[in-house]
Amino acid sequence: MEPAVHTSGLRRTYTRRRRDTVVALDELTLTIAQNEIHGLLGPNGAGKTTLVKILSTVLLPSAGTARVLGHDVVTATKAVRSLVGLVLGGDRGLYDRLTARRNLLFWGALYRLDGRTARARADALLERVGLADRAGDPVEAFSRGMRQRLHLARGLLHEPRVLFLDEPTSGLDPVAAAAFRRLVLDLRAEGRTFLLATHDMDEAAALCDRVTLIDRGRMLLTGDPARAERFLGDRECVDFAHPDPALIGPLELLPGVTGVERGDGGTWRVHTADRDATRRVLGWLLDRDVLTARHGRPTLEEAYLRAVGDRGMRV
Amino acid sequence: MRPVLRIVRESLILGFAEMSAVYTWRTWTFGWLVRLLCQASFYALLGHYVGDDATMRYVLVGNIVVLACLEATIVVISLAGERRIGTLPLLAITPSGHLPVYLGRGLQWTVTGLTSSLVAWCVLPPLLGVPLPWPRAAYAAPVILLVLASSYGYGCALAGVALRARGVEWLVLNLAYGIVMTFGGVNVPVSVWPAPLRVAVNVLPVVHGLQAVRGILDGAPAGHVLRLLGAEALVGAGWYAVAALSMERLVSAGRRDGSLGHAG
Amino acid sequence: MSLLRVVWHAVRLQVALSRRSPEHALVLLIAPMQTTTMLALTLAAHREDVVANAVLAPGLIGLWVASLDYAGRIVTEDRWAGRFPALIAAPVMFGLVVVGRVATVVLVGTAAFAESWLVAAVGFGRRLTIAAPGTFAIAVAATCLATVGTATLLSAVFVVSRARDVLQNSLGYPFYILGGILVPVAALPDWLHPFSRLVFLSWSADLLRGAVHGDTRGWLRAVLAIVALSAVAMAAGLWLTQRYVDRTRREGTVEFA
Repeated sequence: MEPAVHTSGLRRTYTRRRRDTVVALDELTLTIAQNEIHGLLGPNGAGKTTLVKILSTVLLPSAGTARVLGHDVVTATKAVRSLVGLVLGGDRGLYDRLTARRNLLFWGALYRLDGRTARARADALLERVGLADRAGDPVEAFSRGMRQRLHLARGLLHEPRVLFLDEPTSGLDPVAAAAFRRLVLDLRAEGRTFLLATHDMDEAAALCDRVTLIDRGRMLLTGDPARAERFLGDRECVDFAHPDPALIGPLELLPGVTGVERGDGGTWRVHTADRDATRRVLGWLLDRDVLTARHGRPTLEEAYLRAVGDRGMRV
Repeated sequence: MRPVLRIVRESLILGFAEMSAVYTWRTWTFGWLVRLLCQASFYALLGHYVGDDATMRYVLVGNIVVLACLEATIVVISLAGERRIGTLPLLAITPSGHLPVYLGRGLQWTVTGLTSSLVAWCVLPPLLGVPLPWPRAAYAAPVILLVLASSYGYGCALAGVALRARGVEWLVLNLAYGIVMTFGGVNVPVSVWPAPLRVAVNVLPVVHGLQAVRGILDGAPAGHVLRLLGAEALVGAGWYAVAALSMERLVSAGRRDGSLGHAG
Repeated sequence: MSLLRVVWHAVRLQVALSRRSPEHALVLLIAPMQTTTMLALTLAAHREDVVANAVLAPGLIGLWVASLDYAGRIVTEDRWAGRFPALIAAPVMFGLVVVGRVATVVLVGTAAFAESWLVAAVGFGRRLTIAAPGTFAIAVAATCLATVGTATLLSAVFVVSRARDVLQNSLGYPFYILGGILVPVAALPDWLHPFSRLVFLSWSADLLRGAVHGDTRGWLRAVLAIVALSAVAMAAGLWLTQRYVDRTRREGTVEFA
């Protein structure tokens, strides 16, 4: 079966002022099977949006090839456009003064749906994304989560087989984000393929069949989410405050503690290898009357920094 | 044809929805329309002050017809809004392409422009004491429609420029309209300008259409008027071609250098 | 020559300011085109005696537009009502704010005057000279003062009415007619005269034109009228704003759109 997405040696550079060239994508080779939910994971500026733009024909690659269901994004632009849906994150891309339904009808006209089909699909999609009872309200009154669902409905109007979602849950509260993810899983069950650009490892782990980690335009690894989590290493940490630095020496010697960082004003962050080590650290702190310790997870940016910094490009 | 009509329809609905953010029909009538009527009256009074009734009528007719151009060129602002909203990449990848939307996004201004011009045409001359020769003056209505169409093409072409450099849409709009207002034979005949300028203004919208309106009022032969209308239509078609080319380039250049992006 | 240098510096300063506020650049873009239109019309009708009107009018329009813009911007900045009590409590700071703001307004007006003068000189070969420079300077100073008052009143009206865009659009041309900016008030229909005299522009325009032609009869009356109108506008503006602030405090509606 033809892969949903295949890129080979894909490269994209931008020329900024004074002729310095920024490499946004560097020799990226990636294959996404049909009906897969593929996570594209990386910190800000890693090249996620650039890849989504190239695959949705908004941007031309500088070198290499990219195909969607066998069609080249540069030479067979028209075919690609009818197959893909682009869903942007954030507040932009919707007409605030129009109602949710009118927004969809506007795009329906642009996708050359006849009036009856456009109305039927708009209503069905509004129902599906849970906006049916707000269909007649102007979008300007919508919350972030509602906008995001409307973005998704817009991207689905022409029934694309491959969907590109760029940071779809950024800025959503946990409940709204979970609802959005359920929607994506439903749509996958209909046979659609998703490429999901995100910097949220938990989201990728919850949703994706496979993930690709990229950093500064280069691929670090591609595989199942568990492998990516292993690569990113100790994704646990304990934050606490204590005035006496003498405490830290013995703490560093506890099994499973991979590092201790000093923060501002007597705060500390202990990195641990796994959940057991975290429990050990918390208990140890409790025994020493440190009652305000907090268990947390470093951001993907921090994890990247530690993983890539520690191991270089060894994967 | 049907899909194009549907895009026009949806664009008009969108346009009027956006207009209603600024105006109600009452504030439009008493704010915007009155402002336009005052603008035409201001120059007409000036014409009367420096000249006579004939000068006043000349200036008034010019300033009423040019209102159609003023409103049609506001499409520059509507289109610049698309960049701000971040819809440019989404528009570019629809099967209809960006062009029908780009050409349709300011259509509401042609509706209001026609209304303003026609109201001014009927109300101002008797109010200011320089009545027009009715029923002959009614033939000006279709000419104003033509002027509106060519001016809209002119506005779309300039919107292609305004979309490239951000934040200049108001400057572009005022320059576009101001050049027509100043040099287009609105207040003084084109013949007062030095030769090179006289030739250059022939590419502006309004110029020939306005001469046709003056011809109609003065009872000029039909052949003369039709020739002028042909010239106005030709100028308009030229501007639509420039608009299509400029927007095509905007998108193709945007795909190359990433300026079409939704990130900024 | 040194006058030209001053004007040049003013223009350069204005260009620097306009980088951050393109609306000012707009005034400077429109003024030369307006001058061209008005001068062409005047000269085509062989009315050399009206050249001064055509050169002065775009400058006055520039001042008016700039003060409308000044008033409109305060509302957009969203802080007028919040800052107002503190401004009243600290008169020195209030003065500084006003001077800082109005400097731009006055600069725009001055630059628009300069542009008009240049268009007349370069484009039409008409070098406008001022017969009574002293009176002209007083007239300009009084006009700038009146602009401050008007801007204060307008900003208060904008805050209270909230229909900023509509007002900003409709407060232009009707006032250019009433203000006798180009066509002197005397040439307007009689029933408009009382209304005209309430707009400071009508006094300013007559006074400036008189100074250019060397006809300075009744200049004191005109200056007093401008100052009085300015004071009334300023007082009304401050009163309206104060009332608005009090109301928002009472009703607890601190935010406004």
